[in-house]
Amino acid sequence: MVTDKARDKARDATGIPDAAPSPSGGPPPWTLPAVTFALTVLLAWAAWAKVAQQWAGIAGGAALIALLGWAAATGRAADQMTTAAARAGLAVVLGWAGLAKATEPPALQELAVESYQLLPEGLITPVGVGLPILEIVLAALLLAGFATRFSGALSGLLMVVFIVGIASAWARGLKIDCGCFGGGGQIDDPPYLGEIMRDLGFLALAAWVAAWPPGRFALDRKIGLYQD
Amino acid sequence: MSKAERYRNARERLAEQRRREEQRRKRLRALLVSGGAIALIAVVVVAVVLVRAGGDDGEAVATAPVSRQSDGSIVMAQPGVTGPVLEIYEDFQCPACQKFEEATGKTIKQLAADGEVKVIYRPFSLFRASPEPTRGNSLRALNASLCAPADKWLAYHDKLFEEQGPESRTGFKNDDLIDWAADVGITGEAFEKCVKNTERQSLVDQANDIADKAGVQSTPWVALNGNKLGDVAVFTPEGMREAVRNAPASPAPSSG
Repeated sequence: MVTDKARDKARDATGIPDAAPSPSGGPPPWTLPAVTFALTVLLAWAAWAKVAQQWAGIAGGAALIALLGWAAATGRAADQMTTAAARAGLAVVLGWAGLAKATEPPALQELAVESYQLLPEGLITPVGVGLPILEIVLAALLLAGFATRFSGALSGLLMVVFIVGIASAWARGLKIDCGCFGGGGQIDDPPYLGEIMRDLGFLALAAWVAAWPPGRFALDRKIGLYQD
Repeated sequence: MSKAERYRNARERLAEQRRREEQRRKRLRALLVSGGAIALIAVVVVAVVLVRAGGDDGEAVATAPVSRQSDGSIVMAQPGVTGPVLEIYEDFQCPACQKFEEATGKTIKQLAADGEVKVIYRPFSLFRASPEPTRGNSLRALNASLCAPADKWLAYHDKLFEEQGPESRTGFKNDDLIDWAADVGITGEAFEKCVKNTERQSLVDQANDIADKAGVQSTPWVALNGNKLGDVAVFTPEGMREAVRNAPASPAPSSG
């Protein structure tokens, strides 16, 4: 019904032609989406592999926020390719984190939740086991571009919950692994600031997706939710 | 108003109405899609939680005979069963050990009762160098467990893990340790004195030394025939059963 033609029209509306240098002579138009996606994947990898978490988180999170903030401020928000990249990046983050947790024994998933000492006993199992699945489903929705604004908003809400949880553990003097990409429990020197900055970067991605849905290659377009 | 104007007005009104209807349809569709997304998320999450909910691994079972060795460790095995040997290094104040006991504790007792494995519990204090109150909690609980008679040790061990509190607060107070002991049938002045005066300090030191020599760096540290087991074996009943059943009855020559 509304497929390629609408997409072409949307592309025309952005004023940024595909794979051609932008009229102003700056960097090519795919730079912003490509850098956004690459930075996000790098950040997720560093978190998963536990590589220099503190500094990777602080630098990567700050870079992501700065990049998206700059793009929004300079009128690049209409670029649907960037929204698509943000969706894909966020999907990688959530899918990766979800899979890393879901493939662990349920007892360890519960331990990771318990160590925050925030939830009552009855909620430990549902959250410990359910959260990774929620992340995986959200990743699939984002990747497909289905209910994009809703998925982006829910991902953002999830990031806010994570940030609050980590900040509260930090404030209470707990020393725990955030359990973000699997693991959890007590550790010696948690990189709380890096984790919070990283999640703020992901929050910026989610905000972008929620603000300027649905991006290229989205199911929402196919079902006629967006025809601009 | 001329006829042509009226006609144009009517047409504009009609177009306006159509636009509004189209908008309403779009909003409805967006709502339906979001609702579909919520339903999808809810169904998948609930289904997986119901299927995967971990924790309890069955009913309490009759256990194999339990005895204490001179170094304070506790052996649980059917007579004549010499291997495979499952060694369990744990700290009563360690939350992951509590999870381990919840997830696979009963499976291990069952395996020992069925004569499939010889279990050696080696409680020690991983947190002996940690700041208070964690350090004290860990030491008091360990000392009390060493005061408990061998035949009631297992029940007391389970009780201590059940009663474990957060490591950031003072727990395992001597009076509580004595009360919980009474709950599992350990009474008497000798036990109380042993708890209050930390009478098993030398066994505590010995247990810590043994754990150090075995290279234990974290808890729960569960070794089968001297090889440390991975998370799946330690934290899932199926993983534990599989590991034990695939292990040779005699320890590998390299293990200490």
